[in-house]
Amino acid sequence: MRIFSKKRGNIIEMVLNPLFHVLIAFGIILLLLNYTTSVGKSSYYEREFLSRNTGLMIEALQAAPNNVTAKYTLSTHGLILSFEKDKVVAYPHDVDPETSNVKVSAYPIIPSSLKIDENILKPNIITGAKGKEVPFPFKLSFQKTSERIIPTTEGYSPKHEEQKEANCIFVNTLDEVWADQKKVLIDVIDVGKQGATKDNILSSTFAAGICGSLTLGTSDKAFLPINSDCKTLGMSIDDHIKKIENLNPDLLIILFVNTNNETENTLKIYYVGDGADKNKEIKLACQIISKLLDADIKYTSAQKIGGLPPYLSHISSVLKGRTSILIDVGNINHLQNKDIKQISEALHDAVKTYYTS
Amino acid sequence: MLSRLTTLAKNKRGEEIAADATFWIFRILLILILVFSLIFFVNTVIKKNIDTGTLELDLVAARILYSPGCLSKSDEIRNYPGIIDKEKYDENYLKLNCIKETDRVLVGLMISLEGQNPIYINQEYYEDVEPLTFSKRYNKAEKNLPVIVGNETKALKIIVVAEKR
Repeated sequence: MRIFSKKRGNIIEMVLNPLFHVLIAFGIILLLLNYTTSVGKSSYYEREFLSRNTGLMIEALQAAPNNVTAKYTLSTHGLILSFEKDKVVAYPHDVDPETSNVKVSAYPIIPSSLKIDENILKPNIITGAKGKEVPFPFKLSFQKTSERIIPTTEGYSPKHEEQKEANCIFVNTLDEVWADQKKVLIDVIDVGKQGATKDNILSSTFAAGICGSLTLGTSDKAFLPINSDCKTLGMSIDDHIKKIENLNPDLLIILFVNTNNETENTLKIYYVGDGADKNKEIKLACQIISKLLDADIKYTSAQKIGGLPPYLSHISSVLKGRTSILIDVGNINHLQNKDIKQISEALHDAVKTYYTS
Repeated sequence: MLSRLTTLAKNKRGEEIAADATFWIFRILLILILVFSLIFFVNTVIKKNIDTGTLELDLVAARILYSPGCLSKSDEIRNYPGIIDKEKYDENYLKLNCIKETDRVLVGLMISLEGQNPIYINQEYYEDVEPLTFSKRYNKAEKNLPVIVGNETKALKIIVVAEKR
């Protein structure tokens, strides 16, 4: 390198030569980064896994001595699974397998006298925050009879289509659960017909129903370090705010019941939408909605608390500064016991999923 | 081009340019070697393939043993795993009901029941591939199992070979 020479070089040697070397080094780094990014983003592994896994399942069923029904949930990563006569093909939902061979993985199945029913299984894609598409996992079902193998999705509900508006995103809330004991507080505020004035909160049967069948913190205690509580915290909004602040939960879910509300059997979920916990709140809200997909209860998409109706504005302050969501249950007069149980189970499952994914 | 380089080489400036050109060719070659070795290194570190070769062949052997379309004894009510129907120990029956021979051959089998001649499925493929199974490109699974045939216990040997799918 002439740059280290004692002899003083000209302007080309002193500036342009090192610059040229830096440019070449930059080009190499860019090339390698681009390559490693493309490897990281590629769905090659997922496609291979999905086609191979389901192909092996079919071959295992071919070996089964008798008729069998096998069901399992399989994460799809947004891939479409196509069962054809002699192979299982996996490809991204935005790719045409006829024209794009690059992104298609096929696993050939050793043929037998058993006919494989041709079927194309598509994941339920929901559009998440910032237009990110989030696939729901397949619930695969295989039925083997003496003559054929039938691959289908099990439990598919057309209600999934309504899910398209939900702000569902992936954010890691698994790691934090093991950091220390987590406190989950579910506070039921039932203002009855009076509306949310300051001191008319009821100890409603709804609260008893929700909290009575909520098993979080008992059956799950063994494997999740969660301390949960579900109750009506007081007779006034101020009581609630004070007690929530004293308890300082890591995760706060407020269920607001207002029998004066005109909308019946409709859940509205609000999240604070500010700060670092925004994505976590959206995730939790989406988890609750997803657990209610097969229920008879209607729901609307999760929305920012900025759009709170006036009757809920009293309690919005307590939601800020912690991971919290507010569920407006509305008029519960037409909720049956099974609906309440479903909401309770949805809360339980959503919190569990929240802390395990 | 050559005459121009020769003319250049005749004077001092030309000599410098020629020396620089050789030097740059060497440099570019080095850079290319560096880039390709890094890509090769990354590729060797990232294992993208899912190796299920042994499992695949074990499933084929299991199919021969347990599937009612293969060797396993069965009646209208149920199947009897571990009991071999002697009438099913027939090459044509197995090719028709157990593992169909198609244009695209995926697997070759040799099945040998004690006291009987061995039978083959995709025999030509089996005989071609079996000697090559020392290679990582091919898989081989061998099962030796006691089975019941009629009132007797006999040894059943199944050898499955296949190219990696």
